[in-house]
Amino acid sequence: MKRALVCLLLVSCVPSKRREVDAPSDLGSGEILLVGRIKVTPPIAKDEQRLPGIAEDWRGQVMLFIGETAEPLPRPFKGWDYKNRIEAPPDREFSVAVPASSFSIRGAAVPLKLDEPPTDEAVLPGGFRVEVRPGDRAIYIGTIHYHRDEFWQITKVEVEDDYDRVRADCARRWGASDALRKAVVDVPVKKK
Amino acid sequence: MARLLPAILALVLSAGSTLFTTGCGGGLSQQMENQKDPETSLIVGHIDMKDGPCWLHWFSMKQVMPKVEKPYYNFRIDEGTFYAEYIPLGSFQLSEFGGAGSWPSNTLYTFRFPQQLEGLRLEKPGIYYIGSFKMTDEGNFFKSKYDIELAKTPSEREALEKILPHAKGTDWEERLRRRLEELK
Repeated sequence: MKRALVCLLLVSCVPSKRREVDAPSDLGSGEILLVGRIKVTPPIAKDEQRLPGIAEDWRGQVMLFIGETAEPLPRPFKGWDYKNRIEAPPDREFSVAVPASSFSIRGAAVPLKLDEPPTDEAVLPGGFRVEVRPGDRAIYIGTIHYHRDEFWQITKVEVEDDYDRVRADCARRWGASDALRKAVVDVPVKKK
Repeated sequence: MARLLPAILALVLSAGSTLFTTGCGGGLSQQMENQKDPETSLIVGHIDMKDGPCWLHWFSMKQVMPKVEKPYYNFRIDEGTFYAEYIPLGSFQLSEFGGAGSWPSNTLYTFRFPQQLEGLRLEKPGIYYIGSFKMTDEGNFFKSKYDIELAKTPSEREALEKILPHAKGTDWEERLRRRLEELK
């Protein structure tokens, strides 16, 4: 019971996520719309995640983290490290407001065990750089596709370009007034 | 055999005797048994807990592939050496280990391995030594910070010699002797 309460406290204290927005018209000043997708192969299985009811919405999601620099995500991961996360659903693009300046994707995390402390996460590598240009309103960074084994070791990372499909979808929802710029990220070169 | 890396351990503290009973894996004896399934393996390893808060009382591994209804395997323990002769083919991760604090403490120490950690892929039956580890405390006077690192001792030979008496009268006895001959 005590552990459950501690866990409830932990999850309920998780800082806020990045604001999800549907269209550039919903942006505040100094913001751009970031569109992209995170894919994990094989997909996250239900029995790999032990989540309390309050965090059930996180099942299958990958938490993406951006920052001014590509500073790697910490291990072990703490509750406050979820601050400003982008919640990337498994089956569609995420669409969030971010500051209108260049940034790095620091990495991603998959919550594996949150039902009682200590928590456990799989951390996925980052290091992607996103250059924001003056006048950008919405950018598309591609699908970052992580391949992993049964031990959550990342075996391959690739970036897939679904720009034509995503642009068509955005144009249908937004109208023609706002353009989605293609800014597909490159896979960082692995240091030897 | 996959390479096993030292883990960033997560420590869970609890109190009471009920958990200890379950944590021991149902009180497994040190005596090995013959297995009906010829595809089972004997997994052996060692953790030196001298610098830890307790001695090793339980150790478990989780089967991650193929998926099974009961994926956890508890190990037999003999003074830091853990072993299990009933492990089927598949992929496994180290799950957790721990022990009870020394008298008069009633604290149970459970150390959990993260799920994102290289594991074992058993593709054919055999005797597998997964290594020697040593618990470290990199904390300070006020707060301990436990982890484990690879250790040079005991060697595979020393660990197998230690569990050999527990294989007496089983098929494992001869297989262990053959492996010990190879290690000479």
